[in-house]
Amino acid sequence: MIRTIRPSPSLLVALVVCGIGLPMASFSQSPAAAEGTPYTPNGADTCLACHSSPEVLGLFRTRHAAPTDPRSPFGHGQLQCESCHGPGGLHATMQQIDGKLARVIDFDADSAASVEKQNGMCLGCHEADTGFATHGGAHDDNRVRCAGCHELHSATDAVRGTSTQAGKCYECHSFRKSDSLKAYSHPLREGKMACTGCHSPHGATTELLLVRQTVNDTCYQCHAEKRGPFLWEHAPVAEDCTTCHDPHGSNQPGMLVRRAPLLCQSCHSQSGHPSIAQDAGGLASGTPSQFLLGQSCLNCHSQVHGSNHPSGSKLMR
Amino acid sequence: MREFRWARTGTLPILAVAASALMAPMAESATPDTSEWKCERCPFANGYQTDLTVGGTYVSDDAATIGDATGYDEKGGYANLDGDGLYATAAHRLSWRVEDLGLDSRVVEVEGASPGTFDYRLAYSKLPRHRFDTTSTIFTRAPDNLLALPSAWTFAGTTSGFSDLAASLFEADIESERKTLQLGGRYLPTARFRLFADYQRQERDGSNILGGSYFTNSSLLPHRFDYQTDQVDAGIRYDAERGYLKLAYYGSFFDDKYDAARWENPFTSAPGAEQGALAEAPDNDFQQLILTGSYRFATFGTQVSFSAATGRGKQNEKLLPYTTNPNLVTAPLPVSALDADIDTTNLALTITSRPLPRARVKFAIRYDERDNQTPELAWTRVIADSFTSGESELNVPYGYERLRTNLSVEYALSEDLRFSAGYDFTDFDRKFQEVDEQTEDTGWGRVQWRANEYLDFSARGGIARREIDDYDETVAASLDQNPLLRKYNLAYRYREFGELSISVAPPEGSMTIGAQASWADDSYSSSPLGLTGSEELRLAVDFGWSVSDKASVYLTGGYDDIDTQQRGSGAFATADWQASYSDEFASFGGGFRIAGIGEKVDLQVDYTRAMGTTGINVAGGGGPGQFPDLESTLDSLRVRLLYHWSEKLEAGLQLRYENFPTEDWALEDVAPDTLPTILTLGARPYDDEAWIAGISFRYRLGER
Repeated sequence: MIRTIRPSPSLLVALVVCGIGLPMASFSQSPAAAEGTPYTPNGADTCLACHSSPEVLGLFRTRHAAPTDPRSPFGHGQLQCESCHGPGGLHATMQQIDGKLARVIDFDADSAASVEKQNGMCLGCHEADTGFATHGGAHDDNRVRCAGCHELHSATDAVRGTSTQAGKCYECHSFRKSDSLKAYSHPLREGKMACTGCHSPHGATTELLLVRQTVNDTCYQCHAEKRGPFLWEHAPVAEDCTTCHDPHGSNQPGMLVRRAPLLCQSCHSQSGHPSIAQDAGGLASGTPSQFLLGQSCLNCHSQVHGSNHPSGSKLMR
Repeated sequence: MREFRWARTGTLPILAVAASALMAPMAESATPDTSEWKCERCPFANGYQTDLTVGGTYVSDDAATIGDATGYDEKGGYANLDGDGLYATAAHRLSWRVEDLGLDSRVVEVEGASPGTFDYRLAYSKLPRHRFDTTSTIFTRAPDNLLALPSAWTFAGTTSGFSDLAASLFEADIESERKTLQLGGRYLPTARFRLFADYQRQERDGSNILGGSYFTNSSLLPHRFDYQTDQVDAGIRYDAERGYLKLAYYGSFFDDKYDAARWENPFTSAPGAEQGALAEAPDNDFQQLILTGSYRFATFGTQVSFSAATGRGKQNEKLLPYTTNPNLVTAPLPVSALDADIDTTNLALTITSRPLPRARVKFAIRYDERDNQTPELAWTRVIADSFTSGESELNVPYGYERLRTNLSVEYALSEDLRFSAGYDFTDFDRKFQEVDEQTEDTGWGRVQWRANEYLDFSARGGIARREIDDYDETVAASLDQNPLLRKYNLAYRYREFGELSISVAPPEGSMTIGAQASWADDSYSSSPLGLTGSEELRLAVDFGWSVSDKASVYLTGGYDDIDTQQRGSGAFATADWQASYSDEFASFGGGFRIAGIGEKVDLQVDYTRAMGTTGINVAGGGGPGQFPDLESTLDSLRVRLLYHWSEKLEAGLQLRYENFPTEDWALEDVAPDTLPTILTLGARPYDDEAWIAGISFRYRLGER
């Protein structure tokens, strides 16, 4: 039994990179911090005097602009635009800092405000419902900006729509975009499924930011017929669907990671047909092989996800 | 730290940035007196706002793959309605959306809220799946989920003797649909407490392909299924200034309308074996309690997050008899229903801390258990409804325990240069499999460098070694496996991997270029048989250019290649055949958008090409080793022209072209009777092509 962790090359890689001696020092404050900047005298009325394009005013169709919600930036007594953009007094009066027009905090990719500062403005209200759960997750580890995904001034936030969400996720997850174009994939390209059907981008403690505790629990949300528990289980199926399937897309039917029978022969070597090489001589143009053509192994072993038949131990019933 | 007043709850720090604030602390500004702020310029939503789009679409050809998920599967005309709307008053918001109402892929959503008090959601969607429209069968549907033979049928030992086949075949598309109804809501009795409940019903019915075997023969059946799954998520959440606690219940209840898939055997059979039956998926349920929470300490911004879940899955479906053959004498079933039971435990703990202003440490541990309490019983199998095996077999209640830990450290040498490294350890214990205990240790390092405001660079690399305590060949022997085989998910594996990411945004901010690459090399060097190696390379490139505030263009490309090698033994000894497998995929696309052409017209064009190629070579089998490539090519062109007739009316023209030819030797030239021992459905490789043209009018109601 293996119980102890032995020194290994992989551990050494980690230790070498960890071991870089690094001095302590504090960062200079971002220019966008705008220390002591005053607020505008009239709040949004000041801001909207200049910023009144449809792209800006889309905000007023969203929940962020609900005047009767005391939690909303536009709730009674709140700071309106400056709840998120910070004090805009200098900006509104066209004053300059270091020879440039004083800026408020903006949320563009090239914003002068740091990721921490941008996200901090959002977490000021959303820390409890979102920030704590996101903390320590992959998106937090990679310093993803809230505004990198969410469009706050749009009447419809693309990342929250089933048909538009994947496009937003693909801006960073390019490989997944490519996968979605494969011959066999979930219907993300058609806009009929969202990444959040399986992943919880604000989650932290589940593996792979899944919406359920495990890969299989996540798959069973839509494929509960595979859950069993069956009388005759197929061991890898009960353990991890991704042993055989690539849920992001594949060149092979059923999103399989390889084509049968080779996929099946990776694990099955019983004497007789499971272990015999199925070469191109078994194609329709040669001597057609029932082990190769049609559904391949599934021509007979059709219950690969498990059988509940008393005679189903070979997954044929 | 300055605080905002919450009308109902006292105070909450609104500018707290918690741990991250240590990196860039925010200086305070004088709190203004907002009591006189009126926001007279704010166009708050009030009353009705509705956009409605009506249109018609013509599809040029029948095409299963193009209709898959979209509903455009058949040639002809389609009427459609889309829309969304908002009704807002001072006290309530109600929004709705309909999409593709005239199609089989329709979606209807309604959301409402009394902001700060409660919200609710109702949604209905339908998803059509079209797998094959080239299939044909001899089986007709009869009561009791029986697939019956034609009344005139000549039985034979092989398909070549099916003299009535050609006259009996009729088209039978393989297709299904999923209907989903969702109801949910949240109630906030106070600002800190939240009650939530969501209910979902999924109904799936239609057909798929199922092999019904009889001795050495089999028939591919247009199997009818009818599933229903009800799911409930409900719980309570408490939010505090330094964390939250959530207790939730999840229940999933699956119901299969049918207990068995039955079919009449078209092959010559022994007396009594004229009909076969497969067990359908059993009705089952899974219920789980989940407690999650998080707490942030003042010291070093340390945050502890945890999750603890305990669940139970059950099924007690009445078992079918050993065989449908009345001429066989079988032992009685040990039980009439299995009473299968799975207990699951999932525990997770994540701790993050910033002990130094520049250093962030993260430790995570996760434990997952699937404890299979299903009784082990002895069964005497009947082989293909023809004869009893004569041997007693025990069912195997597979289960596992998996422990994953990882520790990582990130150090910021400067605000723009960060190093991180991590060590991951996994211990995987399985029951009743060839490997009892498997461990994997992974070390990785990463650098993230923002060279300047225009260039971001990230690189990550590492190695992983998966080891096993012992590959128990007695277990392998009990499964009649070759003792030299090493199942790839259980085998020793050594992996090297790397990732590279570059993002460039040249000055002026109108152009972005992104490139990503990843690579992994797996070696299963202790596997005499089975998978012996695998190498994966992935590349992706994106280019975007905002030519002006009204025009933009983009290009995108992707490539991946997975090469694997495996060995087998036809002689049930040492390796006597080898297979190499290459799975390539390349995609590229591009498009542009121009708004305000002549101040009235918007134009959007998108084109995508995706090509998949799988090459297989099996050497040592005695026949030709090189297979023809498996190929798929997707060409997709979408053009959208929008004419802004007035402030309230828009007219749109949509043109879409899809072409999806494939080469697949598993289906190519495989007619229903090509295989002597398998009656297939004669599915042909996809070769779908269609133009989809539509016109639509969008009308805007209500003031904006």
